[in-house]
Amino acid sequence: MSKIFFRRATKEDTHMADSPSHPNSARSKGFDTRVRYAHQSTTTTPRWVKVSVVIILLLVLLFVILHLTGNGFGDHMHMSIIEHGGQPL
Amino acid sequence: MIMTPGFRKVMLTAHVTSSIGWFGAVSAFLALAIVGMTSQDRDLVRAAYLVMGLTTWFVIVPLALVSLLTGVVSSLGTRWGLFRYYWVLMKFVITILATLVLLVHTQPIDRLSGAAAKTAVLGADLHGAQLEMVIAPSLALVVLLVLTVLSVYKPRGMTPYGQRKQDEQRKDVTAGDGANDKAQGIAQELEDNGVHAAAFK
Repeated sequence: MSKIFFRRATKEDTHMADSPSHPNSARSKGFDTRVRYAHQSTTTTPRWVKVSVVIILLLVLLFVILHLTGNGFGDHMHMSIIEHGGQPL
Repeated sequence: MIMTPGFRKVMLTAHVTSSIGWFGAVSAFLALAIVGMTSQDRDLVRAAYLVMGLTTWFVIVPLALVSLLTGVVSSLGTRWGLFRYYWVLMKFVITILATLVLLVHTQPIDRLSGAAAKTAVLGADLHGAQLEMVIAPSLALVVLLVLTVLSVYKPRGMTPYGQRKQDEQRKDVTAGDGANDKAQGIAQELEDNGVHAAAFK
């Protein structure tokens, strides 16, 4: 985990926030340089993807746990309005 | 399958509109939930929960489904693809999860609005549910903001599948089939920048 967050920034990282060219454009289809292809074909999973996946998994896990333990909207919603102390109209 | 520019723009317009609408509807839902939890006015509280139930079924759920559907069509109909770029894939996964969570929460929202329709005063036991009505849309807004950021910044990164597809395209280009693609690519880029082919005729 710490490796993900504290890994030294690489050249790949510095380009992460840049908008890639539109895939329909001539540039992205390989008309600029071969370096671009070589660079992209050797890229590993970006750091932002790894971090995002971890966050999403944690949130899904939290959501499931909350609902399984009845701390979500849960069982109290299944009770009748009288059980809730409500006053029928 | 690549869509025609006209259909692509229709899909993109529908996707942007539904996504923004989804964000706005959840914002309104959150405002009603806060009113429902904090107001001392019984009628106002009941009205808020009744409107929340209607808003969920007639605005939020349809917009979420339209956003998901148009997003999938837009990605599959362009060279972005659905599984080629991490940011597109991430948006797809997050949107599916957000829609599922929304659908799961429609049931308790219905119960709360149903209780509001039948009772003059909501029971104290419903306070937990009222609190979650505030927390859930707050988190939803954060998620929708993340989706918007992904769409705008399009962070770099291509999936292994996308790399294979790109390599295949490169082979096609180097094999001499690239002239037509190049022309289409340039035309597409001009179209994206608001320059129409008719301007050159």
